[in-house]
Amino acid sequence: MPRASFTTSGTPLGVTVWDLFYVGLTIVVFAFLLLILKGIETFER
Amino acid sequence: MNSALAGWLQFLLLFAALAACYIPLGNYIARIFTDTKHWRVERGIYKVTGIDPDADMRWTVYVRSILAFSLVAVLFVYLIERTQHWLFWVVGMSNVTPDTAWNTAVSFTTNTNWQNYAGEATMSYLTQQSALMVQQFMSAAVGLAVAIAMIRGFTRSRTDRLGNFWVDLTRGTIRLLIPIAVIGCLILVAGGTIENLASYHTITTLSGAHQTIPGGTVASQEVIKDLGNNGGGWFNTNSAHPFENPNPFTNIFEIFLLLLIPFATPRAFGKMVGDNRQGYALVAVMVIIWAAAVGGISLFEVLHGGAGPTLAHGAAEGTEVRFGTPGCSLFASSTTVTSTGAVNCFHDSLTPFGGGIALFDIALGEIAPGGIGAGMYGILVLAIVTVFVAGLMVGRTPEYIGKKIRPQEMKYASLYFLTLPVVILTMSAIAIGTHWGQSDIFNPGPHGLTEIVYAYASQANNNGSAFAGLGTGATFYQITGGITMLLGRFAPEIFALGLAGSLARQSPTPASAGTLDTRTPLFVGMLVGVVLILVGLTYFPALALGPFAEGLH
Repeated sequence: MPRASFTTSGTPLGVTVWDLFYVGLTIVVFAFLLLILKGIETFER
Repeated sequence: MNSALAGWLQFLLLFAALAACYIPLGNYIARIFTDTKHWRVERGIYKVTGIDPDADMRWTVYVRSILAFSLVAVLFVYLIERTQHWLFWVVGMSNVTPDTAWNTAVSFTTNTNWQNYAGEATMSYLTQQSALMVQQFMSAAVGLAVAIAMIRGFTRSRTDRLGNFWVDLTRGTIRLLIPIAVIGCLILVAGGTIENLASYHTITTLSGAHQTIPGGTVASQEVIKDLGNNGGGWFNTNSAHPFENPNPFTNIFEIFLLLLIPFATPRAFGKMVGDNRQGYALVAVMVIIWAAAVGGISLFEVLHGGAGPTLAHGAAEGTEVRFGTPGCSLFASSTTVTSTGAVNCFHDSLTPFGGGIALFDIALGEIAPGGIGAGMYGILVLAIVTVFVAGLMVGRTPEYIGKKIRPQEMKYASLYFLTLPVVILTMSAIAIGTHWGQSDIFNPGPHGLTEIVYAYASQANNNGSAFAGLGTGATFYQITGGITMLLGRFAPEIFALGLAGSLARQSPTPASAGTLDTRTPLFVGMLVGVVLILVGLTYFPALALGPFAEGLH
């Protein structure tokens, strides 16, 4: 929602290190969630 | 008209409209998810996507489907944002920066709609429609699917199957969200909300200055923004912008939309478990807490001390004058008890205690009535905690809707309840305790603390409203905020579905003389008490050091 400050858009060209970082971070967080699920499955057995 | 009278009339009108929809809409939702036949269009979707609609999923498969779908959604939205300048319907927008693109992708996929950008100055028409608006439908349907799977935990026995996620997702979107969104969009357009694909116009004002007038398919996004408890507006000022929310009629209609499905879902629950009084009990809890939130915020905003606010009939700073203090208070309380997060006034400008109530609403876990689906599974977990507490009091095995609440169910319920405080308070502590977090706090003292706790509480509970005054566009807040949204959305869903799986495996337990009747005013009172005490004890230190300290200063 509205902010006192916000980041305006830029025009980075091509894939940057930050793109790789955020894609990697997304995968890591989802992997962590899957790990929680896996842990529960183990616990349930 | 007297300001207080206007507030009462708006509330009563809204209450009457929601009450009128409770039974028909709730029955319809129940029918959607118990219908054994697939619509032709649905069969077409299953065929194209290779889904077997008749496959019944274990709860773990159900969770994996949600995670897989959401992972792809995050990456897709991120890709669109990062390449929008090279696509079409660009309207002069550059590619979104990686920080903002990721935070926004996560935000819209998790039904949070936390926005670190001004939509009209950052997002192309294509991004708004193909990425953000699509996720507003999808994320809402995911939440509803989880709630329905949770309800099946009560209705099924001796099985570990909770339904088919893809079927629930498709039906929730096609049979519920899209039809209401189409009707709601037409009503908003009739009310004056804009809906076009026009280029931005630059005009010269009377004083000779130049002003850019944006366009956009605003009404169609506005309706799902509210209906799906998303909150992500087309414009930076959200529902305070006249193109999104032109007048008091559209204002009350938007509040109606954001409360509509969450308040009707308990009816669907009652219908599906075969006892409508169970639904009445849960909706009574929701109404009591919502009404208290409306009353509390209205009271503090209207009775704000000082000559200026008294003359203005309320604390008008940060309030949209077209709606006044009553319109702001009703919107603020309704948007924070649901997981919507849309705003028509600045929550940062609420009085300290008014803002404190908004924070408390969010901290409740948004169960009154909560987000679409999320409110339902949230209150069911708390109902289970309540019957457990009641069971301890009378020394009997607690039961709820014919299922025993055993240690395993309580472990899931405890994990569910503890996840959000752990995420919120840990992230807040990191922000307050490190240079990265401190450097973007614009308001020191209690107000600054409130802003930080509010930010993480809002993101973890997938609300999306903000207190402003915090530099959340900084990389630190973008990353920690994104992680908070993902954990706050999906970890509780894992525990809720685990609980549902555990309940579904049980055989039904017939009610006996020692069974607590969960359809009575006594249970409603106990559930309200458990909700307030659990949240109060968890967040009291933060509330005391933030809004309470500021208000009493």
